[in-house]
Amino acid sequence: MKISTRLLLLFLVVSVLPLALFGYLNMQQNEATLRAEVLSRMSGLADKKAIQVNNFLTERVREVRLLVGTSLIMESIDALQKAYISGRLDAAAYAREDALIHRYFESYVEETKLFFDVFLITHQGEIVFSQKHEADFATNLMDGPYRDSQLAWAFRAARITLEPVISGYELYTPSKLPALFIAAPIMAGGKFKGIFAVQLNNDLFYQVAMDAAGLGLSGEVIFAQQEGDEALYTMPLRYRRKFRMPLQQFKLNSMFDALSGNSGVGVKPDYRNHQVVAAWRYLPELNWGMVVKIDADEVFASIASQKILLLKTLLGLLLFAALVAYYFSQKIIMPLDELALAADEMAEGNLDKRADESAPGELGLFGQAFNRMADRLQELYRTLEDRIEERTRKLNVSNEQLLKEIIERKQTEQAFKRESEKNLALLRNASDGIHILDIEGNIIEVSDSFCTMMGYQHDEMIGMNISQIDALFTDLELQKKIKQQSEVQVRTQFETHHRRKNGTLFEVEVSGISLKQEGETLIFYSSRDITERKRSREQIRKLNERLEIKVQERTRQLLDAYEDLVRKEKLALLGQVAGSVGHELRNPLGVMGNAVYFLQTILSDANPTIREYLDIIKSEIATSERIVGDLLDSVRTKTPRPETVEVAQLIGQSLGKCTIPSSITVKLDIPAILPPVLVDPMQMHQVFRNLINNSVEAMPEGGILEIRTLENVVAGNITVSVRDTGIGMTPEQQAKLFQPLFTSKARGIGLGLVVVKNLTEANGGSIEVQSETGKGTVFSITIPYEKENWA
Amino acid sequence: MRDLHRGKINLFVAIPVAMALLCFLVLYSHDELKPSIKIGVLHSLSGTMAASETPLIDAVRLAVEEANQSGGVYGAEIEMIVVDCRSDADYCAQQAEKLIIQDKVQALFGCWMSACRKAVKPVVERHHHLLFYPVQYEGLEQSPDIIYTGAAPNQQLIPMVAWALRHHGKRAYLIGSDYIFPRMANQIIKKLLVAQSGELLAEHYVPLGEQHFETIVREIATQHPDFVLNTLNGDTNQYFFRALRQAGVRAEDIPVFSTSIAEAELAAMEPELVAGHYAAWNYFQSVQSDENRGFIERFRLRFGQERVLDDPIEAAYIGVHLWVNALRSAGTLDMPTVKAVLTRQTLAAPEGIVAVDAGTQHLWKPVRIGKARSDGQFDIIWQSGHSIAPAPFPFFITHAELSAMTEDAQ
Repeated sequence: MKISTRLLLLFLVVSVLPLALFGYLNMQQNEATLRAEVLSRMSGLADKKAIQVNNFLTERVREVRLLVGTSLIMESIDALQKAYISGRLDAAAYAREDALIHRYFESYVEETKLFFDVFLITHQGEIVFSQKHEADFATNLMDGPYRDSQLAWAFRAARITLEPVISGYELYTPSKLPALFIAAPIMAGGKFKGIFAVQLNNDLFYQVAMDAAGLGLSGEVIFAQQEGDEALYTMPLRYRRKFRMPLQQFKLNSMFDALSGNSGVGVKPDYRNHQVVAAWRYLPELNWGMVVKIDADEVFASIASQKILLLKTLLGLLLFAALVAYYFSQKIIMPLDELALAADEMAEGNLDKRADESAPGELGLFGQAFNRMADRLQELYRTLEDRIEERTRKLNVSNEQLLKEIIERKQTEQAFKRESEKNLALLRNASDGIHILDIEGNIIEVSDSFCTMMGYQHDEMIGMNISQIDALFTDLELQKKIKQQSEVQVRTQFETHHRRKNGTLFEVEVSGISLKQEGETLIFYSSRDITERKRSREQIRKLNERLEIKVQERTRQLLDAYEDLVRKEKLALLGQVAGSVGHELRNPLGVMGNAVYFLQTILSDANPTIREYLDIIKSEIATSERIVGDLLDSVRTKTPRPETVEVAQLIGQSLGKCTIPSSITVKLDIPAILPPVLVDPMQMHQVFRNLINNSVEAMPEGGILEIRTLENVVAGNITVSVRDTGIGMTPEQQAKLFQPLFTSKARGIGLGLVVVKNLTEANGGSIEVQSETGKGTVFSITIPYEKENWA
Repeated sequence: MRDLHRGKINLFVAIPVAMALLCFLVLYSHDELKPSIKIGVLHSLSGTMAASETPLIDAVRLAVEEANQSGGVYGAEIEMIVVDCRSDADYCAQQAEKLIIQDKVQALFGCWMSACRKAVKPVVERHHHLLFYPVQYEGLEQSPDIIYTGAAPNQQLIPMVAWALRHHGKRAYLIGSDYIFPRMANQIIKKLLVAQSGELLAEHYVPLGEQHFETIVREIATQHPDFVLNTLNGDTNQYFFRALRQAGVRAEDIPVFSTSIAEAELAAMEPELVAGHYAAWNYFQSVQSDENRGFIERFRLRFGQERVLDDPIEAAYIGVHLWVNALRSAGTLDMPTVKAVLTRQTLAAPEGIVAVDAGTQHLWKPVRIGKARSDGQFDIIWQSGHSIAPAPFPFFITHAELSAMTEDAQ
């Protein structure tokens, strides 16, 4: 930005802006002050006028109070009333009274015009006296033609409150003029006699309304009262001839506020919709609203002209400031421009150029300084070349010297570097932790690798004792080891544990050798971390163990397979044998059975011994048939023919077919409601029968046979368990339980349980056994009841 | 050179910033925090008057909150200090003194019973302070330091009796509680009966809280007055009206005109008992006007929809608004100025337009007579139309008689 522009801006900022701001604030303040002043003036005027009205009315009321207390009125009302009632108006008595009062009030009505008219009214509402004798005279205010007039209202209000009252203001028909009334009760001897009333015209209000002193050119005082939904202006308006305004239309108007009973001041629209500065009051005596107002335009005219003046002044100042700023900037810039030109020329190489020193003030000084600088520059320029030559020569000499020194230094450095690099390489490559000890076991030097291994900083390790590092040997043992090492001068090796800085231990293999140097024995130890080596060894050992376990397992599997094969083999063999033997034996057994049956029938009366033998034969035949049956069943299971059957029914029927000795108690625990199962009932009968028989046979001494069912809803099956309290089985016996031809019983060929297992599995079930020697055995058959699970 | 340049730029920035700060200071220096303006509220929260007076505190609170919401006074909030008068006039007077001296309140609002007012009056007058008294009373009193926002006798008692005489006959039976207000009120009524050619059948006083009215009610039934003037106060009314009901005295035959039964009292007893009887007030909740509808709505929004409003509540409420308006137009807290401005106040109140009468410090008020309904509200059967000028010293009683009565009251 050019200096002239800057100066201009600076001038504006410093001089005009504060001025503008101040002017604006000042004007605002002025306006606020003026507004407050005018509002306060209006308020004062309104109060004054309200008090004027109030005083006037109070004064009249006081006069009425005084008059009503005079004996004249107290006596007249009685006399007039009597005369009025007895002889109407022509009675002499009335005329006398009337004249008396008429004379009395002449001064009030005709002379001073304090009252427009005066009335005496009986307590029934008859107007028995009126000064002016208008049409209202001798009418009744309760039911006469003027019963709705303000006089009638005043009469009623005064009668009910027995207080002086002021009526509303309204056109009073008998007078053909707007009027208001003050009525007061006439009391005599504590008794209410009637009402004394006076009529007031609107002279005072005219006076108050017309007094526009202090209200400027546009101001006025307006009065209104509410009549229904309209405001009725009770005094003439300055700008309108209209006297009525609907209230709803001018709710913003100050008169609306006044008529609502509020007082206040403000700037509001008036009945012309002009903005006016107004003060409004409610006059309770009259139920009137009063507004004292001046047009806002008039009030704030001075502010408007002030605004224009301020703007003009500002504009003038702006112009002036700009001109002054321009002038000064020119005054400063011209010599500066010249100086700049001189400087430019010097820069081009003309060292003879000099500036003008005649400029006033600092600019002149600036010129002188510039010229001194030019002189000095010229002088300097002359001597400069000689000095450069001298300096160059000196520099060359010292440069050569320096070069020589540098070469020497470089050679030495390179030699040293090669040596140290070699050492460094050695030390870096040593992976084992080398540490050198004195004869006391104190560490003198360590390799970086040892520091890393131990987790210490190099400096920390120097001066430590080997006993702080070693975690296996006692101090004494270590001392002994070091002593031995120093004596033998042979490489030794031992394993020990080192403790790192963080406290962890690790195994190391330490090789040591001692060295005598300048009469001092040093021990060189080299530690190798053998943790990894040991870990690998351990892993191999574990691997071997696992292998061993696997071998054993495989061997067992082979054994199992072998046993299975044996069982299958046995079954196959049995199948062949049983097939033929079974068929061969069944027929003879059948014949034998028939024969025994026949003998029993015909020998029913034979001696007991014969019968007993026959029974034995019969039962043995039955046993033999069962064995044969089992034999056949065990080798060829028939395809089941499933039916839907109740488990409870199956168990019940099976139990029924078994002979159970009285020494055995049967316990059943079968829930009433079990889902039916889909099995071959004949085959399942056989399963249960066999199990029950087995249990019975396991309890030769008697015991408890318990059958219970358990529904497993989640798995969708039913488990039937048959429990006995018999001799039980050893684990070995249990293992071979389902092998054919295995039996623990004295009798039996070891096929019953084979049959049970085969049939259960054929029907989609499974069997489990739990047994304990001496306590008993439980067989649990699990049968699914879902059709989908049917195998 | 560079530094010099930066210095100049800083100057360009600094000047407007400094000026902006200056403007800010000038504009906002007046806007400091103002301390609150305190008022004292003297009502009984305990004792026999608690039920009647507690709602008046709500009325004052509502008015104060409304004033604060509309900007407070000179930007300051009005703060209420509520004191429990414990239904004890002397204690109340002590508390009034404490509020004036210690708490430096700008005005007092309170008292219900005449005894309380008469005890507080000398305190207020001694300190040239300001009390707003919100309850209708017997009149015969005036103080430059009290604004009476309840009815003077000619704004309740006298129109009520005059109306009864006109509409129900001349034979009156007086019953009242035994304390200042009923006795003074009946003094006035007796004069009124004389003035209006009425006939006094009997005048009875019972202690506050009396429950047995069998004898009195039997006498009423036997004498069969044209109407009964009832200045009983408090829950005694309940027993009186129940006894009337039990004796078979019907409102159509012998109407009872009560001075101290408003909607709140009806709500506290069975309104059914009073249905058909009369009461006179300046304000009934059933007054139909926009101001009253707004007032009821605001009061219920603030204190609960079940609340009923009545004359003393309204009178307490308008007292605060009159005071606030006076402060606002006075532009100062100076007590003499505030009082002078107060005497020129008018207000669009729920009851109608009210105005402070400069001469008496009482209010211009409309007068209404209501007939109780069984729902606890009143049907307004007569009203004065315009507001009536207050007359604490009834005009129809001679000066000598008034002096005698005032001395009696002392």
